[in-house]
Amino acid sequence: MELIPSDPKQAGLQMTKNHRGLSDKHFALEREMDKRQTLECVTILARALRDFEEFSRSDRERYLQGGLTQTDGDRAVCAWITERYENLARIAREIVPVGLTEATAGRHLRAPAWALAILLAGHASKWRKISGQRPDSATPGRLHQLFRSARDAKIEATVQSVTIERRFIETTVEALYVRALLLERFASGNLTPRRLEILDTWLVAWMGALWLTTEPADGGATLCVDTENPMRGLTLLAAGETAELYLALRPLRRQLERAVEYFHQGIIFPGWGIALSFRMEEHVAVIDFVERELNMIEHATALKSKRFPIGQKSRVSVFFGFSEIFDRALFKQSTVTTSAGLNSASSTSASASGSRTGAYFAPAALRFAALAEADGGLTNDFVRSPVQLLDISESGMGLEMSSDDAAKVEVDELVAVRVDEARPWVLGIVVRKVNQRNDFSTTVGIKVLTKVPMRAALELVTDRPVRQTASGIFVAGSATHGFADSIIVSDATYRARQVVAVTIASGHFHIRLGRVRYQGPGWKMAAATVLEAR
Amino acid sequence: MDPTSDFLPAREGAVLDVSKVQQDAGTRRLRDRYIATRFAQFSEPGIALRHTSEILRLARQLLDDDQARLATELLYLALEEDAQQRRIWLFLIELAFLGEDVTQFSELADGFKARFMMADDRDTPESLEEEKVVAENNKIIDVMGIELAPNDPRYANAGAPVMLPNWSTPDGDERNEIAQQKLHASLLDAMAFHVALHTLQAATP
Repeated sequence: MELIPSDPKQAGLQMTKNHRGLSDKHFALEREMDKRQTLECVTILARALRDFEEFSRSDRERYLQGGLTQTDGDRAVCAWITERYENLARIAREIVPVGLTEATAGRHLRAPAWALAILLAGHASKWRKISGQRPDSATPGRLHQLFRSARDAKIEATVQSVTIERRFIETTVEALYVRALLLERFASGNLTPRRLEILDTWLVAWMGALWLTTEPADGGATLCVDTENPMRGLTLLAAGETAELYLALRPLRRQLERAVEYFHQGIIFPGWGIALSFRMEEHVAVIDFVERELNMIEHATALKSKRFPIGQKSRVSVFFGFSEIFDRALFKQSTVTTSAGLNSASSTSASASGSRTGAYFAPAALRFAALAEADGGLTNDFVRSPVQLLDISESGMGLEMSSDDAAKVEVDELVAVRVDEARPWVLGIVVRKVNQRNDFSTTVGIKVLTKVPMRAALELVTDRPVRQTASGIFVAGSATHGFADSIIVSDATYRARQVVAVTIASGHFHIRLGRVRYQGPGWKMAAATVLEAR
Repeated sequence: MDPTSDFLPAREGAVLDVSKVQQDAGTRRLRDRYIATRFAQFSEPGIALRHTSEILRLARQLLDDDQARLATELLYLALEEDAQQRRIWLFLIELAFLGEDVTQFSELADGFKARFMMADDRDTPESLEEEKVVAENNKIIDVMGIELAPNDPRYANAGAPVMLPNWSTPDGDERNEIAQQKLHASLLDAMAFHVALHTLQAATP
């Protein structure tokens, strides 16, 4: 792999001669392997792994602790770490004995070779994702091959001791195999590097609950694996299908609850690892993520609905940030207006949006004219290059942006996208950013909140004679009872914990800003609880 | 809320072990940070979790959002802060009943009785009134129990069937179902109008 040259003027991580020296050591070590017995090779390689992890620990910590702004040096060191893990994983695969059966004498003594190879395969796979590289399509096949040969030798359940993050952990080849497969499956989603590191620490702590069965578990959700299929890892079991091996998820659910118990007691689960120093938000985000994944599998519903790739990438208009979306993307939209009817102390009060207030009630011709002014290709000022739509589904979409523009966008940022001029803006949240191989473009994953956001001019209801106005965007929930409806407001508005007044269609409402359903930089999406309606 | 969803996560061990709530400053701070992050509206979780009506209201909102596990977690956190919050016990008991989780129901029912039935030293009018309420709660719990676990001797003395008490819908003037439906209908109207307008615009040369 070609390393990115680092610029010494930039702060951050730097490739040094020590890094290169360690690479050279690994190269020399690899050449020695042919001359030695399996067990000796395993011992040497395990020691090399420990040395490498000690050497790279501060780099890994600093890289993961770093924000979205990365220097060339950061990227170079991260690429080097990934390359080292991949290199060690390859060496480990090569020392795994071939053709052992349950009749082979002393086969258990050689079991650590499998453990090390599968452990390193998991590490390499994780760091590929952390460094922003696409998953290696050969990984599932390699893992299956290692596991099949371990099963042939009947050593997959032999207890092994491996070292992970300075801890000696007793586990089995099977548990390490499942950990690597789960990493592959879960990490293909929207996990940031920090969250992926947390998840991996949890999976390591949960290895005691990671075992496969030849029959599906009675009740409860199950994933399955076909070790003969090199293209697929853990997959959902389709109705009526059978599989070679099954992974019951109930034990995983219990492990997650155990992790939550730790947090209730004021302990960062599991109490060790690099992730220990990450902010609480990161840990809670992983809880949310695992819960969502387990729910999706358990209910086997299309929470992740089918994505349709856009053949010819199409240019779309896009705005990021609550204020920009409210003021510019939804500028021409019909506006749900401030109430003037409910115990209002300011029936003649000024509205939040000046002359646009009341557009919903304006004559159709005026509304039409306003909409007609809306133009395609609109973006925030900082977005310099065109934004392309890559794929779209009922619940999400993928955009391609220049990396420079994408660097200014945070995960959890609010985003509005106009996919089709004949449709309203789609409102969503940025859930992931992945640098593409060319390093010039970034794929931005978006979770759709609503396809018809409703701009609202709110009035903060207080005892004061003159009321403040505020901006809001309504997001209608799917439930007919209405308790799933929400309003997106700025942090400042939410902090005030105001009751707001608003008029929608022919109804006047006093609404309390309730539970926060989603939040991001500067905004919160709160439950809209109606206190009074007319 | 989907009535078929499993309302309660299986929790290992005892229903509630208040001793798990650490009192030293470091762990207390981490616990508070966790709660404040998980439930974004709590800036001071230690105080907020003792506001029974607020917790009940929020738990109800979470159920409305199909977030039953999160609602359950919140209720347990509140009990960990103050296990005397009787209405929170009842909320959890009703959720376990609706979720047909026999184990969880029984553990909660036992915990509730153990905590609230020891009334020997109560002799003020308020406590006598409270005792009456608790006795009534227990009767209902037994009826629920016999329906969930007909062979369980703990509920052998259950009385006649009763209406579901609706402990999981808190009282108060902030849950106006008709008004909420009206808001939802108005929003849908406004959205439909908005979509139609866009379609009209697109169809016009």
